[in-house]
Amino acid sequence: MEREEIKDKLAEIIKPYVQDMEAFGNISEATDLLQDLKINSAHLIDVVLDVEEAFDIEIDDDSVEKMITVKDSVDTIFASVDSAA
Amino acid sequence: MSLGNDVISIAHLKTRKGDRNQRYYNKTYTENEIRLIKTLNIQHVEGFFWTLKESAYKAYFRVIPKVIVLPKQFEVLSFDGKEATVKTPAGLMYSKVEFTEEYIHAACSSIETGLQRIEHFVFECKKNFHQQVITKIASFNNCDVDQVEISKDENNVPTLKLENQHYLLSLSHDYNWGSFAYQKQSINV
Repeated sequence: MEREEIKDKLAEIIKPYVQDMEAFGNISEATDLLQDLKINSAHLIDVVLDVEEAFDIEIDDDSVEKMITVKDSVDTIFASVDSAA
Repeated sequence: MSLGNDVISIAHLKTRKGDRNQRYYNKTYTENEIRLIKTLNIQHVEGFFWTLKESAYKAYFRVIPKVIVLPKQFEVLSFDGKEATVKTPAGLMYSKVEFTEEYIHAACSSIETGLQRIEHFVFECKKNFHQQVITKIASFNNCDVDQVEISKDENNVPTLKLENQHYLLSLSHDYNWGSFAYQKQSINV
């Protein structure tokens, strides 16, 4: 799966949790999930669970810690998908 | 001293079932916390643990502004339904909770006796959260709202300015509930 495909799929996964839709409309790899998209921190684990289900992967604790920006999240998912393949 | 607070709306607590709930537990709680949860007979226990972790995270972040995503890094070591201790990368936080049928609130201090020096308040808030915080703090202190200011630093950490004195401040807002906590002793800035 290509990075761009992962990024598009990730955007769809996080969209229901986003509180700043204007920032979501300008989403880029530098976008911060908490600071820019205003995703409530209480929902972050649910975002991770949704990502695991959508990509059929398991994200360990160390990798969860890295999922702060869109780029970080795509990198994490890409590495997990790649290792699972 | 550092402080934090968090409020959550019980009506909006997320329900997770089966495998998803197990995976949520594994990512949110340490093994000790899972054992502790099993000993507690508390409705909405996940809500309590979340407010304890989140308020401790805010207190931690004020001291060390490093984003931490994994809730396990803020481990509830003890909780009796009213008071708790939470282990954070910056040390222990001492917390107390209050709850109604509609919300759960936690306030914490980095000093065991610090909770006695914190003023906190939970209120129903549908809009203008900051303005309502200012109005209520002014009311608590019998002063004009013009004497109350909330500022935030580059890490979005709030500080209260009240009658030209500065105080540690923590804010929280979840759906239609808002809360704040501030230290009653002024700080140097």
